[in-house]
Amino acid sequence: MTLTRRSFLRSAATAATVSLAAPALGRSPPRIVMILWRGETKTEQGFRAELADAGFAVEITVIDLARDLSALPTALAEVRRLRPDLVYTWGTGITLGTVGTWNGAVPEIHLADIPVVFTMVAAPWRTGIAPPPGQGRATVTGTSHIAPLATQINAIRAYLPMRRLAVLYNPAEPNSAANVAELSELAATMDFALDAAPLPVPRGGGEPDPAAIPALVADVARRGAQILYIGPDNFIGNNRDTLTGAGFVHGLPAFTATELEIREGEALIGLVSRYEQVGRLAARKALGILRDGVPAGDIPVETLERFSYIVNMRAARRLALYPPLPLLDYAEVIA
Amino acid sequence: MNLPRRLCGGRLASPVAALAAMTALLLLVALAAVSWVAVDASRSHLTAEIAATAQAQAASVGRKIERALDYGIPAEDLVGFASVHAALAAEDPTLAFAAVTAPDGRPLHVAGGGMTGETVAKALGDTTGDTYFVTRLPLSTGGALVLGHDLAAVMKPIVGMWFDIAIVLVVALALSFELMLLVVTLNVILPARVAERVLADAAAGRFGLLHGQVMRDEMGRFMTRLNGAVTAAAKRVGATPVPLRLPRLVGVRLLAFLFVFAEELARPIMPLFFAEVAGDAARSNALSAGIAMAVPMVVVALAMPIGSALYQQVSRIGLYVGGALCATAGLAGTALLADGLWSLVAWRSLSGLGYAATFIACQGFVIESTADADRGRGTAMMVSGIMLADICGPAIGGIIAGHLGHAETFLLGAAMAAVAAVAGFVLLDRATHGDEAPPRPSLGAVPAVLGNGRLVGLLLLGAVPAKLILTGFLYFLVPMALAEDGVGSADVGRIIMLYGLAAVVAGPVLARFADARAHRLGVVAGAGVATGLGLVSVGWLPGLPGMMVAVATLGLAQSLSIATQLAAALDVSQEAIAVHGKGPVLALLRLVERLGAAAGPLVAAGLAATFGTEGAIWQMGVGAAVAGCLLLLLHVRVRGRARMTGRTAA
Repeated sequence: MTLTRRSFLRSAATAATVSLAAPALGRSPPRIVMILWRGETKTEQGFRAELADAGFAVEITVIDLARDLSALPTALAEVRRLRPDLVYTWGTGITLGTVGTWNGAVPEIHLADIPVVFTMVAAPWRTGIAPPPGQGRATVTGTSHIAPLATQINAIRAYLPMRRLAVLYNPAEPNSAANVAELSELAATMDFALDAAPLPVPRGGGEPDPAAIPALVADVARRGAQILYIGPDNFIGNNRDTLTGAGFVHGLPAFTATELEIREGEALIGLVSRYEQVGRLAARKALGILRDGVPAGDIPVETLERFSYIVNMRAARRLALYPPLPLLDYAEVIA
Repeated sequence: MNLPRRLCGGRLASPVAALAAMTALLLLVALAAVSWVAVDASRSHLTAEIAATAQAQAASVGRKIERALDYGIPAEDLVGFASVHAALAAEDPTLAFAAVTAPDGRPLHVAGGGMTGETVAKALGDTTGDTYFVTRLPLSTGGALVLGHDLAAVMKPIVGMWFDIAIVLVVALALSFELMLLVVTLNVILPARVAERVLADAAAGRFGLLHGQVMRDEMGRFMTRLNGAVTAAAKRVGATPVPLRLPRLVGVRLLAFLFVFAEELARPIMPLFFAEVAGDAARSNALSAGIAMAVPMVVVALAMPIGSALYQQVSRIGLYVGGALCATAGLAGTALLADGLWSLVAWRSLSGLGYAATFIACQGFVIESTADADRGRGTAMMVSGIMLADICGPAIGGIIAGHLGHAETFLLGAAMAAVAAVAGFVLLDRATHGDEAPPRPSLGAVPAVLGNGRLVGLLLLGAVPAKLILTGFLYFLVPMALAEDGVGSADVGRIIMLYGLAAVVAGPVLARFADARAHRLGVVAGAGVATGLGLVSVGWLPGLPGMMVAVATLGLAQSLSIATQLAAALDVSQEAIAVHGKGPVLALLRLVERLGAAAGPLVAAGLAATFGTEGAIWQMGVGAAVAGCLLLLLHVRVRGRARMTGRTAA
């Protein structure tokens, strides 16, 4: 879907100029432009709430790409025209398109002179959005919603004594491939075996065939895998029910680090961020830049310190694989 | 008085003993009854408390289980019950097992202590509840959650209480016996003895003695009558009677008891309290405690001969009361004012000075009130008072420290020392000094003693190690090691008490055994080796049992060794005694012993800093055994040479 000039302006107009407090003595409040993937989510609610709680007035303009990344250049042109004090980006695709990588940004394409606070980026370091730890990126900072991989493994082990993990992934997605590489490194230090099963990619490019999923799940089940890992993989995300359904056939549960797969899908375990909290963390970074005058590069890229442990009882009952009693003290159980 | 004697088959030799036996019996019955009621009350209180705790634990686990059941997890498919039990058992070690049962009573999940479904079913059926304290919480499934607490473990406080009560009982009996002995002796026996002499004198027709004890009761009226008759008769024969009084020596028993008891109360907590008060960044806590214990012992060691030398110049009553007041101030200062190593050392030294002064006053009283013939009895009286305090002091002090606190125990010691001052004022005779002074070392005796190789060997390999182990191990390392193991002060006091108890119970038997041996040096050496082995056994037998074995062995070995050491020392120093007399030689021996005692805590603290507390005990044990072996070697060599000389002469 392409964004027409008209529809873009409409979407901008409907959400724009939300002034949270009256500007003091005619000084206009700082202006923020949000570039969003699928309209306002709980993340943005948290972002706005944190600013309101801090009593900091801003003027927010929303540009909704409505799940169409090809509309981004138009959106960036609009940003350059509006010259806001800060740009807020949602998700890896929009963020990467807006600021590029830390060592490969192109000034003609990417924003380099306006501070950017990103959020909902699964792997800011692996994707190169954030520079390696210890370095800053002058105009970019932000938040991730994904728990560190080791924390995810420990979360799985709080439920079952996992020694063999299986991951089906689309090797054409750099994000996903990098995540699998990191998992296989972790397998050595955390003492588990990893069955990494790449989905066959058509020779001419394009998406793998979802019909290949059940056979691959059967294969990893035969090799003794105890749980399926759902990582930051758009293809797997779009075919999550096929994956979990094949899992049920072989008695294999699924773990996910993102909320949608467990709340709306059939994954058994989820270690996820509350999106509102991720938004609040992003707002604190925006406050550091706009209110406190701290350069974006001096504000660390972070993920939350606490995550929600979610158990899906529908899946537990289907697998007859019930959560241990101590887990129930802190897990959120969804029926 | 004939009745009880007849009742007991004539074995009770004196009315005092009969009175003591009856009083003791009545007291025992009364105290036992009170103790029983107290323990029973605590038992039901404790049972209620345990039941409440167990119910709360069951409710908390029950909530987890009910939540899981609510989520639709079937009771037989509950996961992680063992970790729930483990978390609970980590907080409450008395929890033996936990189980979830089906509505028909069949155990579905069992966790803890090697329990199986079968043993749990048995425990559940055990209605008398001898092994487990069983708590049941019904579940919504119709089954139940069952918690089983180890009954012996939950009732452990009651056992500790029984010990406490037994100690209090023994101390109460001992004290009441002491007081009764004092009252009866002063009011009945002493006046009767004086009357006996006055009557004998009158019967001989001399009428030279009047009854000199002043009393206002029946005995007093009897004396007044007696004195009137004697005075009238004396007038007729032209004699001038003089009042006769006998020294009230029996008082020394209570006086010795009081000043030692005051000091011994804090024995189980001394190194800990000192480490607490004197510890700073400059040195380890153990070393600070060692210094705080050792320096006052040096003060006592030096004050003894100096005090003995000054004894003739001051009044005995002044010395005792002054000493007791010094001890009062010293103990109170230790409790309230000491705030660092050197102020602690100062207060403890003041206390030590008081101890030395009261000791010299009692010793002088015994020597001056007795002739050669009954001096042994007089000394035994003082020694028995000290032994009693050695046994009762730490035991009761440990209980008090456990209930009131460390500083408070020292304060109570101060109060006891104050009582001793008052008692000294009342009980000590104001009689003037006699000719005999307490023994004190003379400088002239030093070369004679030091030139005697066997005596020096006995001192360095027998007497000094024995004292060093006593203070270093029993007074310093035992409280430290037990505290490290989390043992309470009441138990520490009871273990230290074992030392005195072993000596009292087995002492007379062992003394007879030692007297029967010709080779006294060999006995001393053997006792040293036994002490060493006892200490080393702590390494093999960990915890309380090992410590009990070591302390009891030390008590036995020391009671064997101390009496023998003295005789052996006199044996080998005949030449010096011929020139200087027994007194100076003995005093020198005591001085060297006391300096050895002062070294004990320092050596122990030094070893503890390097090898840890248990390692230090082990090292000291090896040291004692080695010293014993060397002494044995010396003994064998000397005997061999003597035999050789004998053969050559033949």
